[in-house]
Amino acid sequence: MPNQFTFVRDILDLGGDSFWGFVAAIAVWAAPITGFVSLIGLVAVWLERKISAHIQCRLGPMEVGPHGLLQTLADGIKLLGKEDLVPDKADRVLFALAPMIVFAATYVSFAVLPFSQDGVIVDLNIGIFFIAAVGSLEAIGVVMAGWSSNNKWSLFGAIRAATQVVSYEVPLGLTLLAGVVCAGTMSLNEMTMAQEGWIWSWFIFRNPFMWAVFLIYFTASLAECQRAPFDLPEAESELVSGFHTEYSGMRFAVFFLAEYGKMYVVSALGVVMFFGGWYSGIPMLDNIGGLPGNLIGAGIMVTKSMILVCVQMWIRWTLPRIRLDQVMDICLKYLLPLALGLLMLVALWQGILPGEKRFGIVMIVAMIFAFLKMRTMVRNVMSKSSQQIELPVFKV
Amino acid sequence: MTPQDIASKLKAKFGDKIVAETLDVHDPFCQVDPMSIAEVCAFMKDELGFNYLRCLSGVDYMDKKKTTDDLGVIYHLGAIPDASLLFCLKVILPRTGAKVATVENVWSTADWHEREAWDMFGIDFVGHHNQTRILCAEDWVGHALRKDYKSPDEYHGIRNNVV
Amino acid sequence: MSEVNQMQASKQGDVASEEMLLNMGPQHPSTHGVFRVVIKTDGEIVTDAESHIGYLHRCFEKICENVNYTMATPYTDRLDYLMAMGNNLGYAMSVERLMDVEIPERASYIRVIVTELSRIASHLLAIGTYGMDIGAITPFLYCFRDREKVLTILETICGQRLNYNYVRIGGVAYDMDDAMLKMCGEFCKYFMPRVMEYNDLLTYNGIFIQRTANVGILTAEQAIDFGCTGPVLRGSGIKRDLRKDAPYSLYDRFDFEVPVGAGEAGTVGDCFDRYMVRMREMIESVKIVEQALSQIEAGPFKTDKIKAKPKPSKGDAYTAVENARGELGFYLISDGSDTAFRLKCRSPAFSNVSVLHEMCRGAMVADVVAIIGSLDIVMGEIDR
Repeated sequence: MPNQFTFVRDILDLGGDSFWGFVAAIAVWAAPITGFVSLIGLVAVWLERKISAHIQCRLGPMEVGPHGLLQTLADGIKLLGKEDLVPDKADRVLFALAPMIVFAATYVSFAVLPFSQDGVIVDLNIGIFFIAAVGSLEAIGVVMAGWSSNNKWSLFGAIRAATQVVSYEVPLGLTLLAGVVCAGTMSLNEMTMAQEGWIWSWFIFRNPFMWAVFLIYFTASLAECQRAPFDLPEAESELVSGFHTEYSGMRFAVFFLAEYGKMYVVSALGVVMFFGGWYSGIPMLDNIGGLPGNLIGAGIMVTKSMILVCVQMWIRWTLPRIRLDQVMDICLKYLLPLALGLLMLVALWQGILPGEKRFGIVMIVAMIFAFLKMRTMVRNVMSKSSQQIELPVFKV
Repeated sequence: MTPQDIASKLKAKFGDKIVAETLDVHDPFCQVDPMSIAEVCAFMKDELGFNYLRCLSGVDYMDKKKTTDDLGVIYHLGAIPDASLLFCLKVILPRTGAKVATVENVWSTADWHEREAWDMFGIDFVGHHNQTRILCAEDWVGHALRKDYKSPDEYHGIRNNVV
Repeated sequence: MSEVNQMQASKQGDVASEEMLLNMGPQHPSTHGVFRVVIKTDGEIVTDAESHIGYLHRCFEKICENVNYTMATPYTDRLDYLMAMGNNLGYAMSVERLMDVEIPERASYIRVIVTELSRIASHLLAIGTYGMDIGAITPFLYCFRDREKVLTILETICGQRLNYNYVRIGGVAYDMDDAMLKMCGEFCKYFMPRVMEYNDLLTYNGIFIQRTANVGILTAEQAIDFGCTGPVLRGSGIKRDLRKDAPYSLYDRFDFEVPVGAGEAGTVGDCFDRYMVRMREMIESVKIVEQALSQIEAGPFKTDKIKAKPKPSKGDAYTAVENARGELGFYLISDGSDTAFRLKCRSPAFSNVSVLHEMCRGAMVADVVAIIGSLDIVMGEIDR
C-alpha cells in the first residue's frame, strides 16, 4: 500500500517532508472526516428517532422535511443558538476540555477505518490496536466531564462510565484478538482483503466460533458506547443525564455527535472483522476496481455498518437498563471467560484448517437451519401465549 | 368482636382512663385520656388484634359560636386482613399546650400522621422522635387547619391577602 | 474521619470511604412529581434514605372547610389525579353515609364501571412509568396507547379526561347512554389480549426480572405496620381488598379475584410482586366492568332526595374505598350546615411512601428508582 500521507503531500506539493506539508495533509484529510462524522451523526439521530418511533407505535418527526429528515438539522441549529452554560463552581478548563477529548477519541478512529480498497486515510499496520487505544481515551473525557461539572449525578455517571468502559475493554480486546488471529494481521485493510471472495469467506462464517465471538464483541461494544442496556453512565431515569447533566448547547451536541460517531466506529470495526468489510460477498461485484469499484465498496461498507448501528438502536428501544453490579457480573463472570475460551478455540481452528474458505458454506447452512428452527419455536410460543387470555402463571 | 365488647374490655383494663364511650354512631368510639392513649393503643394492638392504624386525624372543635375551643385527635383502628374489626379512639385536648402521647411505637405509620397533625394543628405528640413539619415548609408560622388560623400576608416575598 | 485514621484504615486494607448525601428530587425524572429523597450513599450502595414531601401542598382540607359539599367535589379530583373517579366516589360516599341516603342502582353500576375503568388507566400508567424507571421506554408508549382509549371513553361519558367531577353526591353527574356502554364493552374485549402484549414486552424480559426481583423487599409485617394498602400491601402477600373484604357500592355482586404477590420471581414483597399485582388487577377490573355491563338496567342515575346543597346531619364518619393505590379514606365531621366542619383525607400513597426509607436501606442507587416506581406514588394525594 502506498503511504497515504506522501500521496497527499505529492498532490499539494507543499515542500516534501516539511512540517507544513504534514499540517496541510492533516487539514486536507480532516475536512472529509469532519463532514462524514457530522453526516453520520445527522443520519443516525434521524434513524434513531424514526426507529424508536416505529418500535413504539408512533411516527416520530414528520414536520421538518419529508418524514422529518431535516429535523436533526433544525435541532443542531437550535443547539448552536443556545447559551453556553458553565456551572458556577465547575472546573472550567476541564469542563471545556471534556467534550473535545470525548469527540477526539471517536474522531481519530476514523483515520484508520477503511471505506473501500483505496479509501482509507492511513493504513496503519496496527489499525485495530490504534482504534482500541484511542477508544479508551473516551473514558478519560467522560470522567473529566463528570468531575468538572461539580454535580453529584454527573460524578456518579462518570464513575460508572469509568468502571464499565475499563472492564469491557478486556473482553472487547480479546474478541479483537480473535479477529487478528483469523486474519493474521492487525491492519484493517489487510484484514478485509483476507475475506475476499464469496460470502462464505467472511470471517463470521469461516470459523465455527466466530459467530460467538461476534456476539461478545457486539455486547462489549454496546457497553463501550454506553448504549442501552448498558447506558448506566447517562441513565436518565436514575442519574438525570449522568455525566453530561450540566452540558448544554454545542458542548452537549459534541457529546451527542461523539456517541453516534462511536456507534459507527464500533459497527464498522465489527463489519471489517466479521462481515467482510467493503466486500459484497459476490466476487464479480468486488472485482470492478478503479473509482466505481471504490465507490461501490464504500457504499457497501457504510450500509453494512449502518445496519449494525440500527441493530444497536433496536436493542436500545427494546431492553430495560441493567444495574451496575449486574453489568460487572456480565462482563467479569461471563464475557471474559467466554472470550478467552473462544480465542483459544479460534486459534486452534486456525492452526488446523488455516484459510479454508469453503467451510463457510457449512456454517451458513447451519445458521439458516438454526434460525428457521428458532423462528418456529418463537412462533409457537407466541401463538400459545396470545390464545391465553388469562395471565399464565409466571415461571422463571 | 362487637364495639360493645371492645369498649367493655377497655373499661375493664383501663378503668377511668377511658373517659367516655359512644357506641350508637357511625363509628363507635371511646374517649381516652390523652397521656394514656399510647398504652391503650398498645393494648388494642397486642390483645385485641388491631394491627393497623387506618387514619389519625387532628380536629379543631372550635365552632363559629366558640362554645368550645378544644382540639382532638381521632384514631381509626382496623385490622388486616380482618376488615370487620373496626374501632375508633378519640382524645380531647385543651387548645393551649395540647399534648398527647405518641403512638408511633405502636404503629410506625403514626409517625407521619402525627407529624401532619403537629404541622396542621400544633398538637404536641410527647415522645415523638422527629416532630417536625411535614407538609408545610419548616419556617412556616402557625398551624393551618386551626379554625382561627389567618394566612400570613407575606412569605419570603410572596404576598398574600392582596385586595 | 481524621487523616491519621484514614491512613491507618488504608494500611489495614480497608478503604476508608466517606458517605455522600445525594439529593434526589424535588426535580428528578423518576420521583413522579415533586418528591424529594435524601439518600446517604456509600458508593452506589444506599445506607439511609429520608423522604421529604409537601412540595405540592395546597391544604385541600382547609379548602373543603370553606366551600360547600358539592363545591368540594372537584377538589377531590386533584388528590389522586390518576384515579380521580375513585376520589370522587370516596368523597361522595362519605357524605352519603352521613346523610343516610340510598343511591339508585343504575348510578351505583355506573360508578363501578367508571371507577374500574379509571383503575385500569391508573395501573396502565403505573406499569408504563415503571418500565421507564427501569429503563425500558417502549412499554410506556404501549401503555399510554391503551390508557388513551380509557380516557377517551371517560371523556365521552363526562367531558373530561383527567379531573372528571363525575361521581357526585347522590349519584353521578350524567347518565351513560347505550353507545357509551357499548364503548366500554368494546374496550374490555380489546384490552384483554393487550395485557399479554405488555407481558411479552416487559414482564417476561430477563433484565426487567433481574432489576425487580429481590429488590425492595417489604415484609407483610412491615407493610401492615406502616399502614401500606393497595398493591403495595397485596404485593407482600396479604389478601386485603376493601372491595372484597368490606364491599361498598355494589362490589359484592361481582365475581373477581384479589391478586396477591407470591414471590414468583424472587421473594414475596419485592418490586416484581407489586408490579405483578397491578398487572393482574387490571384483568380483574376488566372482569368487573364486563359483569357490570351485563347487569346494568335502566333507571335513574341520581337520587332526587339530595338537593344541590346537601346538608348532612350532625355527626362524623370515616368512609374508605379501595383506590388504585390502596385505602382512600375520608373522615368527615359535619356540624349540620352545608359545609364540612372537618374533612380529613387518608391518602393511601401517603402511608405507602412512608415506608420508603426501610426499603431503600442496603439497596443500590438504581434500586431506589425501582422502589419508588413500584410504590406508584402520586404527589397530588400525598401532599394534598
